[in-house]
Amino acid sequence: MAIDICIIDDNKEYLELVTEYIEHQGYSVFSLEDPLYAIDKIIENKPKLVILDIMMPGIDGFTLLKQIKEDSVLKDIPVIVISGKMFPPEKKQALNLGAVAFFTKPTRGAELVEEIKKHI
Amino acid sequence: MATLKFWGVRGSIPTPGPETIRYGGNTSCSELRHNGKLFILDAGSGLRVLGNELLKSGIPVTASIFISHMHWDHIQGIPFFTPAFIPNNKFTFYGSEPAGKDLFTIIADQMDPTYFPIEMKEMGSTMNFKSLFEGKYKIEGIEVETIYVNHPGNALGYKFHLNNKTLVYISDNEPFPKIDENDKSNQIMLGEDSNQKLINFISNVDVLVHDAQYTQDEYEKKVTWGHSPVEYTVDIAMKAGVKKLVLFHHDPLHNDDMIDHMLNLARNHAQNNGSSMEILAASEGLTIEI
Repeated sequence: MAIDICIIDDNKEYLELVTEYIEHQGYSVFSLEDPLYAIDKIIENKPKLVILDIMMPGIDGFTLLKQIKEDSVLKDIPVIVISGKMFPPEKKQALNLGAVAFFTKPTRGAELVEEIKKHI
Repeated sequence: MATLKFWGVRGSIPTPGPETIRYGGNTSCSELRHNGKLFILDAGSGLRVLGNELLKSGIPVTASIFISHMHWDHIQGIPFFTPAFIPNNKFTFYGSEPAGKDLFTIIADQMDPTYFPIEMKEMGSTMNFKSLFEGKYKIEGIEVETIYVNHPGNALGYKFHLNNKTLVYISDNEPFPKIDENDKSNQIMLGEDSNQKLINFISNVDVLVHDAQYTQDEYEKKVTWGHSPVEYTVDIAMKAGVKKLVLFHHDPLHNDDMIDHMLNLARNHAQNNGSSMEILAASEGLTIEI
Protein backbone atom coordinates (compact mmCIF):
# COMPACT_ATOMS: atom_id res chain seq x y z
CA MET A 1 0.00 0.00 0.00
CA ALA A 2 1.30 3.44 -0.86
CA ILE A 3 2.08 5.55 2.17
CA ASP A 4 0.64 9.06 2.38
CA ILE A 5 2.82 10.67 5.02
CA CYS A 6 6.18 10.07 6.69
CA ILE A 7 6.62 11.75 10.08
CA ILE A 8 10.12 12.08 11.54
CA ASP A 9 10.51 13.22 15.15
CA ASP A 10 12.81 11.96 17.90
CA ASN A 11 10.24 12.72 20.60
CA LYS A 12 8.40 9.40 20.88
CA GLU A 13 5.41 10.83 22.74
CA TYR A 14 4.91 13.62 20.22
CA LEU A 15 5.44 11.27 17.30
CA GLU A 16 2.73 8.92 18.55
CA LEU A 17 0.36 11.82 19.17
CA VAL A 18 0.73 13.31 15.68
CA THR A 19 0.69 9.91 13.99
CA GLU A 20 -2.53 8.91 15.72
CA TYR A 21 -4.16 12.26 14.93
CA ILE A 22 -3.25 12.17 11.25
CA GLU A 23 -4.22 8.51 10.83
CA HIS A 24 -7.57 9.41 12.36
CA GLN A 25 -8.00 11.91 9.51
CA GLY A 26 -7.76 9.02 7.05
CA TYR A 27 -4.13 9.17 5.98
CA SER A 28 -1.69 6.27 6.04
CA VAL A 29 1.41 7.13 8.02
CA PHE A 30 4.78 5.69 8.80
CA SER A 31 6.66 7.30 11.62
CA LEU A 32 10.37 7.42 12.35
CA GLU A 33 11.90 8.15 15.73
CA ASP A 34 15.48 7.76 14.54
CA PRO A 35 16.32 10.35 11.88
CA LEU A 36 19.62 8.74 10.87
CA TYR A 37 18.07 6.34 8.36
CA ALA A 38 15.27 8.66 7.29
CA ILE A 39 16.41 9.09 3.69
CA ASP A 40 16.58 5.32 3.12
CA LYS A 41 13.12 4.91 4.65
CA ILE A 42 11.67 7.71 2.53
CA ILE A 43 13.10 6.13 -0.63
CA GLU A 44 11.72 2.75 0.44
CA ASN A 45 8.19 3.95 1.32
CA LYS A 46 7.76 6.76 -1.21
CA PRO A 47 5.45 8.94 0.88
CA LYS A 48 3.42 11.71 -0.73
CA LEU A 49 4.44 14.15 2.02
CA VAL A 50 7.02 14.38 4.82
CA ILE A 51 6.58 16.01 8.22
CA LEU A 52 9.92 16.80 9.79
CA ASP A 53 11.17 17.92 13.20
CA ILE A 54 14.28 20.12 13.40
CA MET A 55 16.09 19.45 16.66
CA MET A 56 17.00 15.77 16.52
CA PRO A 57 20.03 13.76 17.62
CA GLY A 58 22.54 12.60 15.03
CA ILE A 59 21.22 14.70 12.17
CA ASP A 60 19.15 17.87 12.34
CA GLY A 61 15.99 18.44 10.33
CA PHE A 62 17.52 21.22 8.20
CA THR A 63 20.20 18.83 7.00
CA LEU A 64 17.58 16.17 6.22
CA LEU A 65 15.43 18.72 4.41
CA LYS A 66 18.42 19.79 2.33
CA GLN A 67 19.19 16.16 1.48
CA ILE A 68 15.59 15.57 0.39
CA LYS A 69 15.53 18.67 -1.79
CA GLU A 70 18.89 17.82 -3.40
CA ASP A 71 17.87 14.25 -4.23
CA SER A 72 16.61 13.91 -7.80
CA VAL A 73 14.02 11.29 -6.78
CA LEU A 74 12.80 12.89 -3.55
CA LYS A 75 12.98 16.59 -4.32
CA ASP A 76 9.32 16.97 -5.31
CA ILE A 77 7.96 15.51 -2.08
CA PRO A 78 6.37 18.36 -0.07
CA VAL A 79 7.95 18.75 3.36
CA ILE A 80 6.24 20.37 6.35
CA VAL A 81 8.58 21.39 9.17
CA ILE A 82 7.35 21.32 12.76
CA SER A 83 9.68 22.62 15.45
CA GLY A 84 9.68 23.46 19.14
CA LYS A 85 11.42 26.65 18.11
CA MET A 86 9.39 29.68 17.15
CA PHE A 87 11.94 32.05 15.67
CA PRO A 88 11.58 33.88 12.36
CA PRO A 89 15.11 32.85 11.20
CA GLU A 90 14.20 29.16 11.65
CA LYS A 91 11.03 29.56 9.59
CA LYS A 92 12.92 31.49 6.93
CA GLN A 93 15.64 28.84 6.75
CA ALA A 94 13.09 26.03 6.44
CA LEU A 95 11.22 27.80 3.63
CA ASN A 96 14.47 28.75 1.89
CA LEU A 97 15.52 25.10 1.93
CA GLY A 98 12.27 24.13 0.23
CA ALA A 99 9.75 23.35 2.99
CA VAL A 100 6.15 24.12 2.05
CA ALA A 101 5.18 25.22 5.57
CA PHE A 102 6.59 25.75 9.06
CA PHE A 103 4.65 25.06 12.27
CA THR A 104 5.67 25.63 15.86
CA LYS A 105 4.90 23.05 18.54
CA PRO A 106 2.36 22.88 20.06
CA THR A 107 0.52 22.74 16.76
CA ARG A 108 -3.18 23.18 16.08
CA GLY A 109 -4.24 19.82 14.61
CA ALA A 110 -6.82 21.21 12.18
CA GLU A 111 -4.35 23.75 10.78
CA LEU A 112 -1.83 21.01 10.16
CA VAL A 113 -4.40 18.86 8.34
CA GLU A 114 -5.49 21.86 6.28
CA GLU A 115 -1.88 22.29 5.17
CA ILE A 116 -1.59 18.57 4.35
CA LYS A 117 -4.72 18.79 2.20
CA LYS A 118 -3.11 21.48 0.07
CA HIS A 119 -0.45 19.03 -1.05
CA ILE A 120 -1.98 15.52 -1.19
CA MET B 1 38.03 19.23 41.34
CA ALA B 2 37.23 21.55 38.45
CA THR B 3 37.24 25.32 38.28
CA LEU B 4 35.13 27.59 36.13
CA LYS B 5 36.27 31.17 35.54
CA PHE B 6 34.27 33.79 33.68
CA TRP B 7 36.00 36.06 31.14
CA GLY B 8 32.91 37.42 29.40
CA VAL B 9 29.35 37.42 30.75
CA ARG B 10 27.52 39.90 28.52
CA GLY B 11 25.04 39.07 25.77
CA SER B 12 24.72 40.46 22.28
CA ILE B 13 27.49 43.09 22.15
CA PRO B 14 30.45 44.21 24.31
CA THR B 15 29.44 46.98 26.71
CA PRO B 16 32.57 48.65 28.13
CA GLY B 17 32.33 51.69 30.40
CA PRO B 18 31.92 52.81 33.99
CA GLU B 19 28.32 51.52 34.16
CA THR B 20 29.40 47.90 33.66
CA ILE B 21 32.70 47.86 35.47
CA ARG B 22 31.71 45.46 38.27
CA TYR B 23 30.11 42.68 36.21
CA GLY B 24 32.07 43.37 33.03
CA GLY B 25 31.26 44.19 29.44
CA ASN B 26 32.88 41.38 27.44
CA THR B 27 30.71 38.87 25.59
CA SER B 28 30.49 35.18 26.45
CA CYS B 29 33.63 33.29 27.33
CA SER B 30 34.38 30.98 30.26
CA GLU B 31 37.41 28.89 31.17
CA LEU B 32 36.87 25.39 32.56
CA ARG B 33 39.85 23.53 34.02
CA HIS B 34 39.66 19.86 34.91
CA ASN B 35 42.35 17.23 35.37
CA GLY B 36 44.94 19.51 33.80
CA LYS B 37 42.82 20.02 30.67
CA LEU B 38 41.56 23.37 29.41
CA PHE B 39 38.05 23.74 28.06
CA ILE B 40 36.80 27.10 26.77
CA LEU B 41 33.07 27.73 26.67
CA ASP B 42 32.25 30.18 23.90
CA ALA B 43 34.57 32.60 22.17
CA GLY B 44 33.06 36.05 22.63
CA SER B 45 35.20 39.11 23.30
CA GLY B 46 36.20 37.68 26.70
CA LEU B 47 38.34 35.19 24.77
CA ARG B 48 40.78 37.99 23.91
CA VAL B 49 41.43 38.64 27.60
CA LEU B 50 41.70 34.93 28.40
CA GLY B 51 44.17 34.59 25.53
CA ASN B 52 46.41 37.29 26.97
CA GLU B 53 46.36 35.51 30.32
CA LEU B 54 47.26 32.16 28.71
CA LEU B 55 50.30 33.75 27.07
CA LYS B 56 51.77 34.65 30.46
CA SER B 57 52.57 31.02 31.28
CA GLY B 58 54.83 30.79 28.23
CA ILE B 59 53.94 27.13 27.68
CA PRO B 60 52.11 25.74 24.63
CA VAL B 61 48.33 25.88 24.92
CA THR B 62 46.00 23.01 24.06
CA ALA B 63 42.29 23.58 24.50
CA SER B 64 38.86 22.34 23.49
CA ILE B 65 36.61 25.26 22.56
CA PHE B 66 32.86 24.64 22.79
CA ILE B 67 30.71 27.12 20.89
CA SER B 68 27.07 27.29 21.97
CA HIS B 69 26.01 28.76 18.62
CA MET B 70 27.49 30.89 15.90
CA HIS B 71 26.10 34.33 16.68
CA TRP B 72 28.74 37.07 16.76
CA ASP B 73 28.79 37.49 20.52
CA HIS B 74 29.96 33.88 20.81
CA ILE B 75 32.70 33.89 18.16
CA GLN B 76 33.91 37.49 17.89
CA GLY B 77 36.91 36.95 20.18
CA ILE B 78 38.57 34.43 17.85
CA PRO B 79 40.31 36.96 15.53
CA PHE B 80 41.92 38.56 18.61
CA PHE B 81 42.81 35.32 20.42
CA THR B 82 46.59 35.66 20.31
CA PRO B 83 47.39 32.02 21.28
CA ALA B 84 45.70 30.93 18.04
CA PHE B 85 48.45 32.70 16.06
CA ILE B 86 51.26 30.73 17.71
CA PRO B 87 52.56 27.46 16.24
CA ASN B 88 52.62 24.51 18.69
CA ASN B 89 49.32 25.64 20.21
CA LYS B 90 46.41 23.32 19.45
CA PHE B 91 42.70 24.08 19.50
CA THR B 92 39.70 21.93 18.72
CA PHE B 93 36.42 23.74 18.10
CA TYR B 94 33.14 21.97 18.83
CA GLY B 95 29.68 23.19 17.87
CA SER B 96 26.55 22.54 15.92
CA GLU B 97 26.56 23.42 12.25
CA PRO B 98 23.39 24.41 10.45
CA ALA B 99 22.71 22.74 7.10
CA GLY B 100 24.75 24.04 4.22
CA LYS B 101 27.93 25.13 5.98
CA ASP B 102 30.67 23.27 7.81
CA LEU B 103 31.89 24.42 11.20
CA PHE B 104 35.19 25.81 9.90
CA THR B 105 33.47 27.91 7.22
CA ILE B 106 30.91 29.31 9.62
CA ILE B 107 33.58 30.47 12.08
CA ALA B 108 36.14 31.50 9.47
CA ASP B 109 33.70 33.62 7.47
CA GLN B 110 33.93 36.40 10.07
CA MET B 111 37.61 36.66 9.11
CA ASP B 112 36.95 37.04 5.40
CA PRO B 113 39.29 39.77 4.07
CA THR B 114 36.29 42.07 3.70
CA TYR B 115 35.90 42.14 7.47
CA PHE B 116 39.35 41.39 8.88
CA PRO B 117 42.92 41.61 7.53
CA ILE B 118 43.98 38.08 8.52
CA GLU B 119 42.12 34.96 7.44
CA MET B 120 41.50 32.16 9.92
CA LYS B 121 43.52 29.70 7.83
CA GLU B 122 46.52 32.01 8.28
CA MET B 123 46.50 31.72 12.06
CA GLY B 124 49.55 29.71 13.01
CA SER B 125 48.22 27.22 15.54
CA THR B 126 46.78 23.81 14.77
CA MET B 127 43.00 24.03 14.64
CA ASN B 128 40.47 21.25 14.26
CA PHE B 129 36.70 21.48 13.93
CA LYS B 130 34.20 18.87 15.08
CA SER B 131 30.48 19.11 14.52
CA LEU B 132 28.14 18.13 17.35
CA PHE B 133 24.48 17.22 17.45
CA GLU B 134 22.25 16.55 20.42
CA GLY B 135 23.79 13.53 22.10
CA LYS B 136 26.58 12.18 24.31
CA TYR B 137 30.27 12.50 23.53
CA LYS B 138 33.57 11.59 25.17
CA ILE B 139 35.94 14.53 24.73
CA GLU B 140 39.38 14.83 26.31
CA GLY B 141 38.48 12.13 28.80
CA ILE B 142 35.23 13.64 30.01
CA GLU B 143 31.65 12.87 29.12
CA VAL B 144 29.92 15.79 27.42
CA GLU B 145 26.17 15.79 26.81
CA THR B 146 24.45 18.24 24.51
CA ILE B 147 20.89 19.44 24.15
CA TYR B 148 19.26 21.69 21.57
CA VAL B 149 17.95 24.80 23.28
CA ASN B 150 15.43 27.40 22.22
CA HIS B 151 17.47 30.04 20.46
CA PRO B 152 17.79 30.82 16.75
CA GLY B 153 20.46 28.84 14.93
CA ASN B 154 21.03 25.29 16.19
CA ALA B 155 22.11 26.48 19.64
CA LEU B 156 23.43 23.83 22.02
CA GLY B 157 23.52 23.55 25.78
CA TYR B 158 26.39 21.52 27.27
CA LYS B 159 26.60 19.24 30.28
CA PHE B 160 30.09 18.37 31.51
CA HIS B 161 30.56 15.37 33.79
CA LEU B 162 33.56 16.26 35.95
CA ASN B 163 34.29 13.15 38.04
CA ASN B 164 31.27 13.06 40.35
CA LYS B 165 30.20 16.67 39.69
CA THR B 166 28.25 18.21 36.84
CA LEU B 167 28.26 21.59 35.14
CA VAL B 168 25.62 22.69 32.65
CA TYR B 169 26.29 25.67 30.42
CA ILE B 170 23.35 27.17 28.54
CA SER B 171 24.30 30.64 27.41
CA ASP B 172 21.24 31.51 25.33
CA ASN B 173 17.80 30.03 25.77
CA GLU B 174 14.18 31.14 25.75
CA PRO B 175 11.26 29.31 27.36
CA PHE B 176 9.83 26.81 24.88
CA PRO B 177 6.25 27.55 23.76
CA LYS B 178 3.56 25.96 25.88
CA ILE B 179 -0.03 25.08 25.10
CA ASP B 180 -2.06 28.27 25.44
CA GLU B 181 -4.68 27.53 28.08
CA ASN B 182 -6.70 30.52 26.89
CA ASP B 183 -6.86 29.26 23.31
CA LYS B 184 -10.47 29.56 22.14
CA SER B 185 -10.10 27.76 18.81
CA ASN B 186 -11.37 24.45 20.19
CA GLN B 187 -8.78 22.71 18.03
CA ILE B 188 -6.85 19.69 19.18
CA MET B 189 -3.37 20.86 20.14
CA LEU B 190 -0.52 18.56 19.18
CA GLY B 191 1.93 19.45 21.90
CA GLU B 192 4.98 18.46 23.81
CA ASP B 193 6.61 20.09 26.79
CA SER B 194 10.15 20.80 25.69
CA ASN B 195 10.66 22.79 28.90
CA GLN B 196 10.37 19.49 30.77
CA LYS B 197 13.05 17.98 28.54
CA LEU B 198 15.33 20.84 29.53
CA ILE B 199 14.49 20.38 33.22
CA ASN B 200 15.40 16.70 32.89
CA PHE B 201 18.71 17.69 31.30
CA ILE B 202 19.65 19.96 34.22
CA SER B 203 18.26 17.65 36.88
CA ASN B 204 20.35 17.79 40.09
CA VAL B 205 23.39 19.37 38.47
CA ASP B 206 25.93 21.00 40.77
CA VAL B 207 26.31 24.20 38.76
CA LEU B 208 23.97 25.61 36.13
CA VAL B 209 25.09 28.62 34.10
CA HIS B 210 21.98 29.87 32.29
CA ASP B 211 20.70 32.80 30.28
CA ALA B 212 18.85 35.31 32.48
CA GLN B 213 18.91 38.33 30.22
CA TYR B 214 15.56 39.91 31.05
CA THR B 215 13.12 40.56 33.84
CA GLN B 216 9.66 39.08 33.26
CA ASP B 217 8.33 42.54 32.28
CA GLU B 218 11.11 43.03 29.73
CA TYR B 219 10.58 39.55 28.35
CA GLU B 220 6.91 40.23 27.54
CA LYS B 221 8.14 42.76 24.97
CA LYS B 222 10.92 40.53 23.67
CA VAL B 223 9.30 37.15 23.07
CA THR B 224 11.12 35.30 20.23
CA TRP B 225 14.35 37.19 20.88
CA GLY B 226 15.82 33.93 22.19
CA HIS B 227 16.46 34.79 25.84
CA SER B 228 15.01 34.03 29.25
CA PRO B 229 13.41 36.10 31.97
CA VAL B 230 15.25 35.59 35.24
CA GLU B 231 12.10 34.19 36.88
CA TYR B 232 11.92 31.34 34.33
CA THR B 233 15.58 30.55 34.85
CA VAL B 234 15.06 30.31 38.60
CA ASP B 235 11.89 28.25 38.13
CA ILE B 236 13.47 25.55 35.97
CA ALA B 237 16.55 25.43 38.21
CA MET B 238 14.36 24.95 41.30
CA LYS B 239 12.26 22.26 39.61
CA ALA B 240 15.41 20.44 38.55
CA GLY B 241 17.01 20.57 41.98
CA VAL B 242 20.04 22.53 40.78
CA LYS B 243 22.51 23.20 43.58
CA LYS B 244 24.07 26.44 42.34
CA LEU B 245 22.61 28.74 39.67
CA VAL B 246 24.71 31.34 37.87
CA LEU B 247 22.78 34.04 35.99
CA PHE B 248 24.48 34.66 32.66
CA HIS B 249 24.32 36.57 29.36
CA HIS B 250 23.51 39.95 30.88
CA ASP B 251 21.59 42.37 28.71
CA PRO B 252 23.73 45.13 27.15
CA LEU B 253 21.11 47.63 28.36
CA HIS B 254 21.63 46.57 31.99
CA ASN B 255 24.18 48.41 34.12
CA ASP B 256 25.74 46.99 37.27
CA ASP B 257 22.95 48.26 39.53
CA MET B 258 20.34 46.61 37.32
CA ILE B 259 22.17 43.27 37.49
CA ASP B 260 22.29 43.64 41.30
CA HIS B 261 18.53 44.19 41.15
CA MET B 262 18.02 41.10 38.97
CA LEU B 263 20.11 39.01 41.32
CA ASN B 264 17.89 40.16 44.20
CA LEU B 265 14.82 39.36 42.12
CA ALA B 266 16.14 35.86 41.51
CA ARG B 267 17.02 35.23 45.15
CA ASN B 268 13.67 36.55 46.38
CA HIS B 269 11.82 34.47 43.79
CA ALA B 270 13.61 31.34 44.98
CA GLN B 271 13.10 32.18 48.66
CA ASN B 272 9.40 32.90 48.14
CA ASN B 273 9.09 29.44 46.62
CA GLY B 274 10.82 27.76 49.54
CA SER B 275 14.12 27.17 47.79
CA SER B 276 17.52 27.61 49.39
CA MET B 277 19.34 27.21 46.06
CA GLU B 278 22.48 29.32 45.85
CA ILE B 279 22.23 31.99 43.15
CA LEU B 280 25.01 34.15 41.75
CA ALA B 281 25.27 36.59 38.88
CA ALA B 282 28.23 35.89 36.58
CA SER B 283 30.89 38.59 36.54
CA GLU B 284 34.25 38.78 34.83
CA GLY B 285 36.86 37.15 37.03
CA LEU B 286 34.35 35.18 39.11
CA THR B 287 35.79 31.72 39.76
CA ILE B 288 33.70 28.79 40.93
CA GLU B 289 35.00 25.49 42.24
CA ILE B 290 32.99 22.52 41.06
